[in-house]
Amino acid sequence: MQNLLMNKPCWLIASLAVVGFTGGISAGCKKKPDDGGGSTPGSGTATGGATAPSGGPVTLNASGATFQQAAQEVTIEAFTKANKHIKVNYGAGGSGKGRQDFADQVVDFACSDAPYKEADVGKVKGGEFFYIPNVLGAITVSYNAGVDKLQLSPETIAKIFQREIKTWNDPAIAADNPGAKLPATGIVVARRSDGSGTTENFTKFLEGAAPTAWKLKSGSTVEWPVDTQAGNGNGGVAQIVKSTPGAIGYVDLSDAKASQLKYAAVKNPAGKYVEPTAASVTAAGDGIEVKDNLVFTALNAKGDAAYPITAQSWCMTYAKQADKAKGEAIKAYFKFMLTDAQALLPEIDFAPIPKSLQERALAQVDKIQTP
Amino acid sequence: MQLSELHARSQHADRAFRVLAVVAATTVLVVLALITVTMSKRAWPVLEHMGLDFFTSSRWSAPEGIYGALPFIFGTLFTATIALALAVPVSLGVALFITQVAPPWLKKPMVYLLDLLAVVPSVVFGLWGVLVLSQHFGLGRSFLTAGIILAVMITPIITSLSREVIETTPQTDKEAALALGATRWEMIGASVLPHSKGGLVGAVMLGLGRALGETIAAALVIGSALGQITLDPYASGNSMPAVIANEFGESDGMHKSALIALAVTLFVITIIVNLVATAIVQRSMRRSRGT
Amino acid sequence: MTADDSHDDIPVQRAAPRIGHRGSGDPQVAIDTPVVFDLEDVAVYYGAFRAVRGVAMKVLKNQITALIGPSGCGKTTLLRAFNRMHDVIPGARVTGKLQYHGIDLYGPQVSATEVRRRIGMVFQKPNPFPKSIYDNVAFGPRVNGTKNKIELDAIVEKSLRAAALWDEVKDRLGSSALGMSGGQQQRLCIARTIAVEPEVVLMDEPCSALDPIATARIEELMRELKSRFTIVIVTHNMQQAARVSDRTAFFTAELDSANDRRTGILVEYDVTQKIFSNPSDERTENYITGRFG
Repeated sequence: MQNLLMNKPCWLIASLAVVGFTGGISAGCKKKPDDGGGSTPGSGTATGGATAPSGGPVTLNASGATFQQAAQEVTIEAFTKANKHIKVNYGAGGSGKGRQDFADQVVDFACSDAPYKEADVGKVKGGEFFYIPNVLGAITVSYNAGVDKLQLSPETIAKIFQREIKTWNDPAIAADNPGAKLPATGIVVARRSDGSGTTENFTKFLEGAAPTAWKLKSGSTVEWPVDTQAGNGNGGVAQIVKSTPGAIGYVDLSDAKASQLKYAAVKNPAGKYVEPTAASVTAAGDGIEVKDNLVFTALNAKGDAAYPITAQSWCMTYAKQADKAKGEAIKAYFKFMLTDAQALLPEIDFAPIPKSLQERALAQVDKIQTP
Repeated sequence: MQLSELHARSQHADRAFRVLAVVAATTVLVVLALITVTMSKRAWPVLEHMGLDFFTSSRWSAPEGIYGALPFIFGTLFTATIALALAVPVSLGVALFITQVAPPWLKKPMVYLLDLLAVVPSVVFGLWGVLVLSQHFGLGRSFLTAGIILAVMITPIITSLSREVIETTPQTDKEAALALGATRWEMIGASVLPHSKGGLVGAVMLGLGRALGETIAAALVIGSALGQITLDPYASGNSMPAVIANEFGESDGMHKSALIALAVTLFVITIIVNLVATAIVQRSMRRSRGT
Repeated sequence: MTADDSHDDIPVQRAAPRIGHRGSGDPQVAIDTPVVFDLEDVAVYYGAFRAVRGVAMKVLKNQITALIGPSGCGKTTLLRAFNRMHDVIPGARVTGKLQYHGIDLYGPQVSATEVRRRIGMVFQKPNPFPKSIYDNVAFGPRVNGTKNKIELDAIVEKSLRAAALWDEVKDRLGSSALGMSGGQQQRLCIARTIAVEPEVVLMDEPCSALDPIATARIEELMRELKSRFTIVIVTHNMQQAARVSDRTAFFTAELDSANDRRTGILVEYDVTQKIFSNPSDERTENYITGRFG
């Protein structure tokens, strides 16, 4: 254990120590344990300190969004290294499944790209619960059209995905890309076959940014035209885009990068074409309005540098925990997720939540009561 | 004294067996009834909301709250039909080859291989369909691709069952035809097929049942196009189980109810298929028995 | 060969061999009675197992030849060699000389289906097809190329009349053959066999599944059919052999020194009367008088 950790960067070991593991690991690190937090972005408040109880083994079961599966995986890996007695299982069955499982009290916490609908809040059996925002990510409009740089406005995207624009050299696309040489090839639209939070956020973006052009409304599945190609998961859509000349599809940033896809710069509410990057997603986070219960949307955020199709995700847990050991473990895990784990997100093409939101989220976690 | 004890004990065992049989039979019925009741209850909201349009409308838009299942019912039946059209001749051919033509050294490994294929999980076939049929052979995701995959999946089952049925043809029945100067093929037509007819229909219906209900493989290759009703086999479509598999996870409220209603519809269709099959089997058996 | 023999579409040796008085087990044969089957040193194997060996006999035209003997003596096995029914059993093979009108039945040019069309077979258990009475009888003519409905109707009626079944079934030709009684089914099987106009009818214990009345009808039928067909019958029932057959071959099973298993051998072959009244072999006599088997 100690030898393993000695190969890790010092800041990581140190911050792990802060969050949970208290026994002699600092020996392997020359620096003082308490300087670890400040050296990385987003971890500044970590010194506030979560102390996970180091008692008997605890297993936390969670389910939810596939969107933040990668984020949960790196968080869990880092967290459980420092908290050997805590095991966290995250089943990425989709946001809807996460909300359902959480409402039915079959999981300890759940993660979702969308909050509960007003009518469904009452159906959550465990009583009052908190939304803890923990990650932001871009949904790209990826394409395979022999154009190096592509710019698209929300209206154009809406028309492409409704099959109203069918060729790459359509005047509407040309208008978004002055001076660009566009091919005359046909457009193949790729979309999700499965119900998905990514589809929900993408269609919400279109509903908000192109309210007149977009007619399919928004939801986890919408009534896509018959002549669109369906892929399973972000990976399935990415696969279609990659293998089909002329294809265009919406894929989250990490999958788009993993498949080496090209993606468009999308026009934001400030009128600027912005490419999806960790920076432009963080910029979107800066321009959001957050409600008291920490519900917000990062779509179509204000700010010149904000990428407009920025999706957010929450983890949810009960305000009053029934089990002491589990409650403490959840608090420790959530604090870690909001502090040290935030620094791990850019590596997997997600962005940390903005600092102001992080503080409010940590305050919320502090409010979780354990018996 | 000893004799009466023995007598009492055997009666005891008999009664215990009868109770066990009744309990087992009742359990099956109760489970079936529970499925029907709970599923119907949860499907009810959408049926109330859509009325008969649920079965006749071809629009399915969750955001707008419109749920018309006709394209999915069509897609299910269409792909199953393609699957049967491809699988039945092949299955019967292979079963006849194994039972009537193949030399013994070839017969054993073939039977073993087929029984093995019959238990391959459907997702394996599904992925193979995506990788080989859709991508390598460029069939795309379509009714035809789904039909072919389903055919590949149900062929081992139909073959395996057909083989067993055909194998029960008494040697004397076959020799009756051969002794009249019939060729092997004529012998099959005169003895083997009439003898096995009921069992073969049963085998095909079991295959059909699997084709109708197959979820993962269909979901992977059918294309998930909404609202598509066309006899063009190259078109993308959707089937009931595929829609349920794709959309259930992220569904709520009326959308969930609609998906459950799809499951109930599939359930009912499967029951109808089975009843029809039973009727066909019984009729053919009655006719060949001559009563 | 008699003049009415019409099977000249396979090369049949016109000058059929005339039989003299030679060979062991070779019965006294009237001069000029044509030989249908001529066997010399015939053996039948199932894989490595030799079921019957060393059979030498001549089957004569328009006679009823009975094969009798205890269980396991190879009589059914031999019968099935006459129309190549062993072909469908993996591992079975026939060695020795087995000639049909002078032609090697197992010769390379000879087709088993053609053989069986000329040499029909009625089985131990009635085995009609699960089809109508009409279709059962019409099956053979159909596979042999008769498609004409009027012709088929005539063949069906003629065959059913010959099998003494017509009056019983003429009003329900379309109903399933499986609905008939056992005796009727067996007569239907005979009608079905003679509908293809074979020269020889092989019968493998045709009455073993029937009651005495049905048996009597079949035996009567065999005597009637004798004028048109050559009949070889395997029977367990010695009275039956005595009643219906012209010639009788007695088989028994003996330990085969080659492989230590019991193998069938032909003990004695002669006119039926002689076999049953004055057999020349002690083993035959023991069997006939009930001291064995």
